[in-house]
Amino acid sequence: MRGAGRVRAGLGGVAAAFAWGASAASAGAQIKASESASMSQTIDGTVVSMEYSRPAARDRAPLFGGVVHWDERWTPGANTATRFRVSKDVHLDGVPVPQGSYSVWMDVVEEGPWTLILEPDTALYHTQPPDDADDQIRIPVEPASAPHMDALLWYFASVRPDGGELRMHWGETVASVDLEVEPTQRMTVTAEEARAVAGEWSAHWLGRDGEERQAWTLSLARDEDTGVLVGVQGGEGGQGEIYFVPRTEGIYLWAWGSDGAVWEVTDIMIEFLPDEDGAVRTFEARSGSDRIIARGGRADPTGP
Amino acid sequence: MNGHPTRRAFLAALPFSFAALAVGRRPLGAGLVVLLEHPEPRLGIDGSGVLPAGAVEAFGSDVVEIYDMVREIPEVADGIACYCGCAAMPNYRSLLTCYHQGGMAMGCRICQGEAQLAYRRAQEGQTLDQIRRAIDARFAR
Repeated sequence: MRGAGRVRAGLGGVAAAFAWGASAASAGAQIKASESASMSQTIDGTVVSMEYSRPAARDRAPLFGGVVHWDERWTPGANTATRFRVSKDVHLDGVPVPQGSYSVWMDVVEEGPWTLILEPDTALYHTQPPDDADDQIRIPVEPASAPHMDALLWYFASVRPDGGELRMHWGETVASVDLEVEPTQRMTVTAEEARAVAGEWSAHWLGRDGEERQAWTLSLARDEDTGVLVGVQGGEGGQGEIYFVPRTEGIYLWAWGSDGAVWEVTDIMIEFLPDEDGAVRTFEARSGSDRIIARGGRADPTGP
Repeated sequence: MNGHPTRRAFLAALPFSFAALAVGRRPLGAGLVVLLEHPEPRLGIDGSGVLPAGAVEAFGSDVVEIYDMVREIPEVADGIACYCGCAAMPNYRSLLTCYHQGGMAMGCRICQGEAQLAYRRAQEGQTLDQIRRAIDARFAR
């Protein structure tokens, strides 16, 4: 594998010089066989981006084992090596990847998993695959079949609150890795935290004039499987599930989710207000500008 | 369990514009939250050091209004830490410092947001501890 890489690396300088010369001589020529592209995805404040060129299949087949040779170290793109950048530390299939920029390479083999390689040197042309080095990050990836994608594409096939599936797709082949970000938000509550606020509540939305508007109820409990605090809302003021994301003692952010997983955290704060005896019998909901938009109390004020 | 209809129903049910409540106007912070230690307000502190309206009017009437708010509650503002990062600056003491000469409140949304929250809650009669707790929940990262 490395021999082919070195030969091609030698030609890389020539190719790069030719490419530079051609573009300098004809500034109006913008058409490229592999056009430049970029992809950026923000997940919980972590920005993941790819800069790459998109080679087209153009009826060439096979792409892998043909256009890209087996046992080749290949940049999944074209021209300048594909660049991967993360604004914070992440994990790829469980492998830690520190914040920073990397050129992306793949060891493409006929049998078994391919290897995704993140190389700290980002100033490489596609004909300059790096040699193995200790500072590279390696992640095994299983190629899989997919519907035809003529021009190579990097994208997130799915996005979760804590990560997503980063995918390279070219021809009928995809190679995916699970990217996990560092969470900025604790989603779960302790049993003790939940006990203070669990139970049945009744509430009203408030107008800007402070007058009570629609009434709603809230049945609040900790999901023992996931540890998240879930409220079931009822009444004319809203129906469905609300998730409570803890911030500081007794204060939560209103969130949306499903099946025990939070997928959107709003800036509405729910504040449970302890009485002098320490028991919590009332709450307020406040908007992002801190206006009180709802008030509630225990459905049974004599309860816990 | 279906989230989208629930969310739509919620939005539709609100008796006022929901636009201002939308997500992501500020970093949501960490749970994981790093809390700052709030300073104890100095005895006898007053608002005389808060920049006058004429010094900040170029930043807009909203900013002038926020400076006026801080001038009214110096004993509260002096007991609150600012989460915008200015706490690391030399001679920084409290949120009140952000509104003095050399402070950055005229252009800082966090300094301004903390002051608005503190003022609103002080008007509601909340204690300094309650205000600090809300500041932590809203602004800690």
